[in-house]
Amino acid sequence: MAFPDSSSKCQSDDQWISKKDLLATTGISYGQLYRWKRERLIPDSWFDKRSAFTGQETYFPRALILERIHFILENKDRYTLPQLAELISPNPKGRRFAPRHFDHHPEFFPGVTLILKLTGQHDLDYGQALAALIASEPGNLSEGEREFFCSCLLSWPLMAEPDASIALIRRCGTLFPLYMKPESCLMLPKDAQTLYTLSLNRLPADYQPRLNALTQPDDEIPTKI
Amino acid sequence: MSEKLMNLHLSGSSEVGGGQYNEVRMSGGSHVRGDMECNCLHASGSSHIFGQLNCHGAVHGSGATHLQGDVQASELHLSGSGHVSGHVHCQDLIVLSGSSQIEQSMECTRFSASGSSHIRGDLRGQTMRASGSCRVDGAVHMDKVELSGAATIQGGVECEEFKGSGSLDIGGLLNAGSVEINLTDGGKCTLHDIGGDRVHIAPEATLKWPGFFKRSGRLSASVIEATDIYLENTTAQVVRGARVKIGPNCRIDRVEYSEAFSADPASKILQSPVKL
Repeated sequence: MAFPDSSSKCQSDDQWISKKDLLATTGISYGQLYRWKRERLIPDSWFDKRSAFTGQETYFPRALILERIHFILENKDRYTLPQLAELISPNPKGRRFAPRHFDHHPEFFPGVTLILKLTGQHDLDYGQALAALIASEPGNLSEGEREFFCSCLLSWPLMAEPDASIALIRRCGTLFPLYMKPESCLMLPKDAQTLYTLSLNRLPADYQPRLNALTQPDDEIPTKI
Repeated sequence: MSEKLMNLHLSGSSEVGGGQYNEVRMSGGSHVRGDMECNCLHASGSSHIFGQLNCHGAVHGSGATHLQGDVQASELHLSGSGHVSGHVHCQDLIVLSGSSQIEQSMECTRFSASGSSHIRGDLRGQTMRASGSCRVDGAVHMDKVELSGAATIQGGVECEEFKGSGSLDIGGLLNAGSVEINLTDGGKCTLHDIGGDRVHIAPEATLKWPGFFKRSGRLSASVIEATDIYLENTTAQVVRGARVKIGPNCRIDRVEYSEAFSADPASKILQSPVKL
């Protein structure tokens, strides 16, 4: 007989997965899960501890954790754990992106042009390239609005808070780019229009790989022996 | 530092503004009012450095040493009554003995504490060895941790290898590849959550007096989760693992296991063990 979990949040079961079910589904062990937590391959914020009838239970956001476990299992034989952590959130100081890297990706052009203009630089660092990618996404922005969005993105911690989110709101002809920390709830006036939203936890899976694919190792300073 | 630096010897009741030196010796009641950079520092008596300390070699403080600013050094040795108000970053060793008060965090390669130490911030490094009374208000991040005596770590521990004995009080999560806790006589260990690959908690094997009745130590925890678990003299709310072996003198509310389970008849498991 199943007792209802009195402390369950108002979310459907399939948004969350218990640690037990996760281990059973993926075949990983407690040892592996805890090690990956130590190596920051699984963010602490994904561990949601709840009191249940069956004792303390931990739940994870289902889609995110399954994707992350799959990524780790696919790649753990090719990279060390610290390298995997680097792949998931690479050191922004490492790579630089010149305009030529974006030649075959017109979808980046709007953001890249504006950020090069705003920074006055000849190339972009990782964080700036990520900002350029995000800024290029919303469709119906004027040049001035997109530039404003770029300057906001440049000032925000895009990679430091994995569970934050970004929204673009327009009201009475004015654009409001917003950065929200995890667990904040935004309530808008009725005449405000939400043009664009992005959960930053999608960066590692959806955005960073696209950037990573732009530079190859031999693009870096060549040292031919 | 290209020009030849002078040595600084302060003794008696003296005061200096700060500056760059080669070898610094302070004794008696010496004050350094500003920032100091040096190649090595020996302080005894009552020494007070008000600014930042950047030492390319080792810092030795005995007596009553008060370092008010941040400390950068290759090594820091504090004995007697040491007090550091700033953040400490050492390339290699930190050795605390006597009575040490550390207001912020410490980062090093090897950490050793004996006597009575209180670190209010976090502790990061490769190896940690603490005996005597060691108290960390923040979290410990190390590769190897060895605790004996009376250790209290409020913010949890993350390491590959954890070995503990004596009286342990660890709040938050003890997340380690292997956890080995020897319950010493009369010692009481209070932990919150334990997670990892291998957990082994048992009184230390004693060959001296076989059969001699001793009041052995106990450990209490909330949740213990690991791939392989062996417990004795443990009270816990939930124990979950692949292979769980409950030895004598345990009191567990709930056990969940996925591969193997056994329990000593002298132990109490309140709910029927659940196979996942």
